[in-house]
Amino acid sequence: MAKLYLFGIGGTGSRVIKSLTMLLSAGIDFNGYELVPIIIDPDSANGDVTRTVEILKAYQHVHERINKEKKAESSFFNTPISGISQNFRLEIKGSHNEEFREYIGYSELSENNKALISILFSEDNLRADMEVGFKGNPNIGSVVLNQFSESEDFVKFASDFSAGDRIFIISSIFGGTGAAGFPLLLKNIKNADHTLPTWALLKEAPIGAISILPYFGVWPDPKSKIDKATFISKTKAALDYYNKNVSGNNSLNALYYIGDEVNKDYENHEGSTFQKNDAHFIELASALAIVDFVATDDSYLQNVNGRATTPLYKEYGVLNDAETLTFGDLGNGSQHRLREALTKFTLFNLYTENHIHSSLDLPWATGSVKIDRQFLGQPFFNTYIRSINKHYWEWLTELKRNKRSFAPFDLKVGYNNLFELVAGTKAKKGLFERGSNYSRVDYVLSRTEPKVKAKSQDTFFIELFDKALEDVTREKFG
Amino acid sequence: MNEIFAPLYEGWGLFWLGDFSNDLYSNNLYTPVGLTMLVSSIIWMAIYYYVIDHPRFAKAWHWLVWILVLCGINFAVANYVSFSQLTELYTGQEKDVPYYSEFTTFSFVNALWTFIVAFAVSLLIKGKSVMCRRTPF
Repeated sequence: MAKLYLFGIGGTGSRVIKSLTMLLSAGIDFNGYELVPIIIDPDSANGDVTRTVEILKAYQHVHERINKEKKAESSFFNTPISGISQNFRLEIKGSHNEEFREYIGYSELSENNKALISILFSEDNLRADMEVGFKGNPNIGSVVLNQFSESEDFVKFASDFSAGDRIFIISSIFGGTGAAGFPLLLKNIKNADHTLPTWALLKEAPIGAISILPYFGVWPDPKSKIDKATFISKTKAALDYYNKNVSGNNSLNALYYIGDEVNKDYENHEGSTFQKNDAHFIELASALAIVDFVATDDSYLQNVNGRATTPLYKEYGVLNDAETLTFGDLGNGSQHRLREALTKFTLFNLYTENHIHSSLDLPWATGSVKIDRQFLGQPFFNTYIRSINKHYWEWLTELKRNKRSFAPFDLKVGYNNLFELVAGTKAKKGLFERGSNYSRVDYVLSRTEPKVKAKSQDTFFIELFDKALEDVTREKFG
Repeated sequence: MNEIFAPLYEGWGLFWLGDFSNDLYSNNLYTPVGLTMLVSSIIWMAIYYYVIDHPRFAKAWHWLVWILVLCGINFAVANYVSFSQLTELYTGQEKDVPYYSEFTTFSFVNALWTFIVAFAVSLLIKGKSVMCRRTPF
């Protein structure tokens, strides 16, 4: 199976990976690729990173369990996810627990070199503690992250890379880690050490990237080194650099740009556990760029001597410039990819969190494979599925309350109006339809149960819900 | 038909009620009561399994209540048919009807057979139902 190595740089990179994991949980088609997320963030305690890693691990567990016997016939959790390291992170040597001046050996430099350094880096830069990343300073990031090729994890990635695999890089352009890391990572992949057996493959590898332009701000804080007033100037500088050194020399096969003028200011945290930004529609749309990249035909991703022959440049747009987006405000492509999958998975979430315990005596749960209280108490459901449910709900809630808001669902639906779930869509009602709301789902689950052939409880459970909720979604909202 | 239903209602002697049973047999009354019981059980259970077939009514106790209602209907049918027909018979002969508790006993027997037949019909047809294919078990 071909792999997509997905590098997520900085906090934004992690949040896009989180959005992609949500889409894969919901069964978005990943064109048969295995996903290998690689998070690059020197801020080891970053709240966004830890949250993403937790979700990835839960997903991995569910995917492995349901594919234990044979390949599960389910779109939910269908794409395999693996990691080059236990926590999906690429460790950069020497990027922790020290000030930047110590990292570059400032005290040992000659007076002339010190003078040169003072032109490139401010006193604040030199004193910056890198434990929480580069605090929006790409000039620091570009020095530290230039050590990619010496990282053991990078060597492992390079050694694992095979013909047919692809690479995608997510980075924001207005911060520190992403803006600095993206061109350096690209350079290190394209010019991999010739001692690596795969250097030639890496040079010709199909590479896509998304560069995320400003889409949020931070509150002014004199104590913080991060100032949103610098976001636009940093973006311009980085774009100018990319124009010459990334897109300008055809280093990439596909480059996606995204950003938003409507935005919200978050609390100003330089990093660590406090940096846990709400999910944003831009991150979801960026995840769609990755889906678009894996769906792109090989013929568009050819390289000659390490340069793309037909580089693709794409931007993202919505149909209506509304402050609160619903499915109807998205373009046809996005609607096609998101509407059914997310509706299905949201129904799965609602049913398994609110209703399942009262339905265990119905035919869908009492057939040859039993779904009983004991099953619901096992880690597969009680820990992993419920963890993904919790994160998915949190993700939907954050998308809704963010600005620009993405609110495709009414998250307050209850027992009497379940099918008012999809915002702006009136659910269809059949004349002789049996059951309404959760009862309708019970009916369709029971109707589907004889068609599910899986023998293990875990696989049966996911396959059953995948098939039945697909029917419910098409019947109600199709 | 009367020959078929008679042993059922008389329970091969177990529910035999003497002259009352003889009167029912000789006036061919087992046939309407028995046919009603049989046909109503099939239709009643088919309605439960294929027409209602609803998640809210798929539990064993729903099924039991449904059958008990049918038993009640057939209890009333047996009581009405036997009472009206035998009253007419004895009134025609200018005699008082010599039975009292027999009507109730016969009606209970009909309700019992209703339960048994409805149960058997359930086992035969439940497999094709969506929501009730495992009701009562």
